[in-house]
Amino acid sequence: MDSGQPTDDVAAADAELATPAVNAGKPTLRVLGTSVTQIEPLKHAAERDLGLSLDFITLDGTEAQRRGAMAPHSFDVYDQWFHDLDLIWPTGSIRGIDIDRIDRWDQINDLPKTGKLSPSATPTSGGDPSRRLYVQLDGSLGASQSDRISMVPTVHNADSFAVVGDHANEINSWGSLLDPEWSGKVILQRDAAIGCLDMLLALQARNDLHVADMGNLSLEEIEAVTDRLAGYCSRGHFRQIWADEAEAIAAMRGGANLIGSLWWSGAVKLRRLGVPVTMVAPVEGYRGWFGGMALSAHLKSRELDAAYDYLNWWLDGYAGAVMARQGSYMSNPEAVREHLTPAEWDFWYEGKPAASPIPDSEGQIVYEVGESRGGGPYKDRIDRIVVWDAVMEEHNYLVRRWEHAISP
Amino acid sequence: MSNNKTSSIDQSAPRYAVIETLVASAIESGTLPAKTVLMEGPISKLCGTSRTPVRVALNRLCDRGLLLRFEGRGFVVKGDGPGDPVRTALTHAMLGLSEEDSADPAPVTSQRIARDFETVLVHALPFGRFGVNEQAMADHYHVSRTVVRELLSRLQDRGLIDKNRRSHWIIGPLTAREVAQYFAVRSKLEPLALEESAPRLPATEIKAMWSRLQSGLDQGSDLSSDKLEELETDMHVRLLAGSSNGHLMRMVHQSQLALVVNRVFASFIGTGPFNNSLREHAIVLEFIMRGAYQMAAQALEEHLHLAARRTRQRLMTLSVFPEPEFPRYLVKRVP
Repeated sequence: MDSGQPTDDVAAADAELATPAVNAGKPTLRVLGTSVTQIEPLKHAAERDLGLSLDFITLDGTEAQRRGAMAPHSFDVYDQWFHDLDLIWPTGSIRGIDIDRIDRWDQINDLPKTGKLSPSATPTSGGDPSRRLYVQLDGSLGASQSDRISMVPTVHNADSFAVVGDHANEINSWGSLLDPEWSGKVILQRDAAIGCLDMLLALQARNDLHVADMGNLSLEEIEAVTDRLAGYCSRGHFRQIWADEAEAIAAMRGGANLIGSLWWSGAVKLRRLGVPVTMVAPVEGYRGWFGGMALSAHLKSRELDAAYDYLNWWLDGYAGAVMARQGSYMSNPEAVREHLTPAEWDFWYEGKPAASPIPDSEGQIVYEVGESRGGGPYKDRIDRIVVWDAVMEEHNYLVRRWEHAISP
Repeated sequence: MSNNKTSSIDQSAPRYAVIETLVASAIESGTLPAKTVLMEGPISKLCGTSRTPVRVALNRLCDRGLLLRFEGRGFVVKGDGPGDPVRTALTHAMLGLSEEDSADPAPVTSQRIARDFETVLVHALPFGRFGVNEQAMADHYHVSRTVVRELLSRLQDRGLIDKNRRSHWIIGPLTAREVAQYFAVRSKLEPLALEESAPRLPATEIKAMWSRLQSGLDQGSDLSSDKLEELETDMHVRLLAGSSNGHLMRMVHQSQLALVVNRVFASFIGTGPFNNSLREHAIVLEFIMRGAYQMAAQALEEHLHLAARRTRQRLMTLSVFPEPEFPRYLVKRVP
């Protein structure tokens, strides 16, 4: 990715830091993101700890990307995913982050820096965060280490799909998403950068379609997957195709036995509502995603400092604990550990059965003693990621085919 | 526009803008009274244009509060007080037009149609697959279907447009694969042309390109997209134009289609992200000014390799841009 932004301009903007701030009063930071990280308890805690006002602009993934690419002046911090940097960075709407100013940089583990936790783990395809982390000399993003990064790596997960009802124990394959027995009870996510991988994992599990590289499809492979998608849609296989988490939750409350795409944050919210939902640990492996925080290109002086404060705050452990309570991991787990009870740490990060009732971020019990989240410890689950959410080279073609396939 | 001397078609302004001003003036001066019902058809006849610009103009006037929507089929001139909308046959005078204006609308040359159509076509390419409706296109440009077919066939020869199995005209979508292919061709052809052309160009022309480029670089992200286009033309058209190889020049021109991705990108995002590219232009010109034409050709080839990557990335970003409005003769098809 290439912002075409000359490095000198950024240096010039940084030089303005030397100017003393003349505006007194609480700065307001506008944070553009999704429902995964934009939750009230975090907003209040950050405002309290940092002495600033936060304006959360919460959109679905695609809308946030559009705004991120086209309207850098409408936000200060971009709280999204590494894979969609492929769409955002070339527009020059976000600026590089100085590693020197990220206090806990050294605590961040190897996953976003090298693409794997275990040296032996097989390389995954798709939007591997490490390949879009560092700002290169020509202003593009790459894996070669430098002193500036595109995003501070934060929340991430090894995702799969959810089952509502009694059949959870019988299901262990992505193939179930396309099983005719579930027809009419299947829910799929709409964002092509994520939903397409759910489809591919399912098609592959059913031996219906095999592609060379799931994270970067050829035109013919895009046609093959979207043709099949259109077929399933026309047969009424999908009960709903959701764009944001609120829609996903509503869909998953719509029946006694349902199956489909769901994020962990959504699963925890459903459990709080009493919906018996289970996230599957598929034998084929997981679809990974990696979140991060980026800075708008227009930021300078006081607002820039406030934005750095906010980025650093995310790595202090508290936010990571809130994220853990909705099933997600943080890039520096050790800081998070200090903010979780031993039972919570063992449950969320070690994958052990709950030793005591496990609460969500608002203190409601979501798992009872003896239950476990499934899939084992953090490292095991991450090592089993087979593909990262991805914006492919032919993404523009994919999106147009995809949207056409799902349109009624 | 308040006097009657203006021709119905001003070649320099968009037609909808001309019609918008015309109708607004007519309302203001009272020749178009309040409550008058306005429909697309009669206005397009009086103005000697297709309906599309009339529709755009009426919608804009409605947005401006000068017109109200009427029974979903047209508009009515806004006015205070009671009274029903008045359906009346519109005359030239009511629109502030003289008889001769409309009786013989300024001819739209086939060249102008070709240019306009190609621009529309190329800008639609990244946004999916479209069918071209011959009749709607003929109506749009006020020409016969024969003229339209001839134009489409010419574009088919150039590989811009295709006929599907059912003989429908189809364009797009432009894919990353095609972008890569176009750039692969360009990266070989343009340096070839440059090596022959650059030594033949007068020093004054090279100097003018250099100073345009420097002023463009100085402007940074304030550079207008027109100026950017000018700098692109310097590097990829004027610098090569000294070549005497007509076949090569024709192929060079045809291989530059994928540049539309950058034009569309700049129109949404601005020119800031093109800074890297312009700095590479400077490297090419630096070598030319030193008489190192082979190095200049190599630098151009490298520039095109880098540009290919940037262009493919920009095509990805286009997936989140809102789709622009295209003329009615372009019909969205299964991508």
